[in-house]
Amino acid sequence: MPVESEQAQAPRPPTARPLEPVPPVGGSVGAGRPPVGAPRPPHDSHELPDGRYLIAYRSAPNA
Amino acid sequence: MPELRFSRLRNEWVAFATERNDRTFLPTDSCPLCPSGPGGDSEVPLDDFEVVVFENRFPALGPDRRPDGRPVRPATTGCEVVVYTPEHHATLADLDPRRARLLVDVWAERYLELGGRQEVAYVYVFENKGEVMGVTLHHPHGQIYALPFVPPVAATELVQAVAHRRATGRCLHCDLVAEERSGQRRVFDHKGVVAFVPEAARWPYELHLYPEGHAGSLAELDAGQRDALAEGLLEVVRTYDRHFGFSTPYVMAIHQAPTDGADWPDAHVHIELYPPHRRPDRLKYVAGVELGAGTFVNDTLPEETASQLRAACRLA
Repeated sequence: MPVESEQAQAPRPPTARPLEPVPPVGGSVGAGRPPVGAPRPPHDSHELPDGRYLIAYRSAPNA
Repeated sequence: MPELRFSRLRNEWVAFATERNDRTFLPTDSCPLCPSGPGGDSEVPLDDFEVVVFENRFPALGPDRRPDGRPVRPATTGCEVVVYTPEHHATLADLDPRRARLLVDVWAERYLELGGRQEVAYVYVFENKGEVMGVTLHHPHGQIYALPFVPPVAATELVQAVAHRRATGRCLHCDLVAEERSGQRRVFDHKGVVAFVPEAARWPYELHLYPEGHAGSLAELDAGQRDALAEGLLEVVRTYDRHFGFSTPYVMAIHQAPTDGADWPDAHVHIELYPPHRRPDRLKYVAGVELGAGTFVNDTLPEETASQLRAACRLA
């Protein structure tokens, strides 16, 4: 079925930015942004028997 | 060992993690996410906790591991599990505001920690809730993927936001929020936090939740903004439960600025929720048109579903 002329003239939807085929390196939280907007929550770090980390977070006392 | 393969045909990365095929699946005798006490055999060998984060035993991505199977430090990319509460039968909707606020703080903390790693370009925080969304453990929890690339959905949003900035000089997300907060797709606008069904929602009851003001990530929100966002998120999931009349399954996705080292002034943190139900007794499936053509078909109108959600919302 032929495409209607209005459809044919309608702007095409934009496509996604091509992704880099190689994962970028040098990543970090963007420059110029506030590093944190609120205090970091208190926490305790642990190591599981197989070496994975576990972090237990607690609400701040005044939260 | 998980690996990423790049599809030249679809211009996308696909993660392969064959160990996940045998991961724990809906256990009935014990829960790996319940606290089991020091020396216990669950994933959380603590007596009690508020919120815990640990490396996923069955990651879809890294970290690299030594020949003896132990993780290499520092992890390059990886997957974390975020357990919301020690209460096995709770859901996100059951959390009190203090716990929900801690969860927002933890998400922000993990964004900074994981995003600061050299190879991590994007920190993706999400939750799958309900068996229909593929959960393998019912204990309330979410996940974080530290990705070495910007995933396609976030990349598309960024492309659109950059184009909008070039055309208008303004933030696309800020403009959308300004339009929706006074329109018929708004569900609530409370303490600066806005929830609405997007104009072109893919899912019948899809909701987008924005914190007050323009911020690229949760880490940029101050204490007051985090309090309000936590309160708003609780109301969104409680609204779903009240509307449908049962604990509603959903996917929750948090979109934030990439952590690839570049500055992303057009990124705007927000939370998207996609419940799979199109009515209480019917699911919407991702099928032929969605999978094969990439185009969603929505059997409802956002203006009508937003009206239904407002009726169930206590902040509307």
